Amino acid sequence: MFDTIFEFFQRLMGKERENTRTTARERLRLVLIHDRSSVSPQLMESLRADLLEVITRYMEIDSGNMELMLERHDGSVALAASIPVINIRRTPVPSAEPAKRIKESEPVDKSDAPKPVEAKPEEEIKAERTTTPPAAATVRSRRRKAAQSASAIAKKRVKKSSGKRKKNRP
Amino acid sequence: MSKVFVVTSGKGGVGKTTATANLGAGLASIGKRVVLVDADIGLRNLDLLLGLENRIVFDLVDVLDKKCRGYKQALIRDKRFESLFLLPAAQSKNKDAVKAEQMKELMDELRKEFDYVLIDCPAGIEGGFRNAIIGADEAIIITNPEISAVRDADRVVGILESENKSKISLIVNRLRSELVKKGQMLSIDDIRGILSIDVLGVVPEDHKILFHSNKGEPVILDKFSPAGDAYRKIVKRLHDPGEPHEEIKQSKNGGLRSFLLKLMRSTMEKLEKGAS
Repeated sequence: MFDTIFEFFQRLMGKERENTRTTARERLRLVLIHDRSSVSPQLMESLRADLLEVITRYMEIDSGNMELMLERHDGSVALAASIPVINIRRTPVPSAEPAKRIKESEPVDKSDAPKPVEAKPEEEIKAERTTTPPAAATVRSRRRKAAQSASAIAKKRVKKSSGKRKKNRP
Repeated sequence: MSKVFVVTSGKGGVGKTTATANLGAGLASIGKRVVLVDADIGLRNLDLLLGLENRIVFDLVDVLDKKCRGYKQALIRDKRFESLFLLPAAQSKNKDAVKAEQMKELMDELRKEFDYVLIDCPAGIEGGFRNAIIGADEAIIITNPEISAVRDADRVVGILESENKSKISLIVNRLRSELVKKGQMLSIDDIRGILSIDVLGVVPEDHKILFHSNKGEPVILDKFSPAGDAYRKIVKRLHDPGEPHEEIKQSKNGGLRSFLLKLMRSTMEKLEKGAS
């Protein structure tokens, strides 16, 4: 009988069990970010095209080697982009007249670019990207001297903005 | 103007067939001409929930293969409502016995004759599901406040949208508001926020569902059942989309308040017994 009373008071205090509703909601939110992106590659493809359009206004990039993916960390999903930068423009191209894009099929001729000694090999850069914690997720652009053949790494956290469904989902 | 709805969910066992039977009975009870199409070929059950299992002669596959004279020969009239009909699924065939194009043609034929066509979709997202959605104008998704059911519902919404079926509404089935209040079940707002589709209605968990399915009659006919009450409201909203949404909240709060009162009362009783 005392157990019943004890349980009743615990219930009144609202302390008796953890809030699994919030846990369920958060797990669902994260898994759906992943589901939706993998189920609809067109969505990621159109994001990639839009990103390319904006970035090429500021930098010349090797769009053929651009990588875009969602990475899962504990309790959050990050949009990770690896975009090799060839050159940075002195002044951005105005948005009204978008910069001429580099065709994906066109091989980027790196031979005429001066080969910087301090440039990291591609593998090393990738490794660094995957080990970067999401907390340090801001645009980590490389210094200009290294920029000529290195990658600019952009990470954007999508934790807060993820819930909305894209209406034009194909 | 007649409408063709598909009742679907992705996950099995969330209440698609029960919802189809009840919405059909509800629409018929307000005088609409309704046909229920059981598209779950090989696993037919809608006949059982309506108590019509002994009257089946021809089925959906017979109609599509033209083994009977038109669909009218296969239709079974409901025992309770003059204007409610069932087109049963085949039990011995499998889901490949039907082609999507045939289903679409049949739905277009049915819509000429009836105010509402409700298609009971099989679980899953394979061929049977595709056949069931192809002829529909709108989709009603049934889900439970449970992560696996909501995830599957999201997948189904994605497929429906990619098939240009963007009129989608949601019924949340088997909600236990006392668990939501205690923080142990997803709420309607949680589910609506995650799936971002319109909520057509909320059906509370109700033991009377089992009671009525045992007897083969729709729970919507039971005036004292909370689930039946919820289905009656959904039917109103289906018939008239302008029907106010406050009803959901009211019934939810009412249920919760009565539950808390019950809890208090039973605890007081226990305390009294213990004292005496």
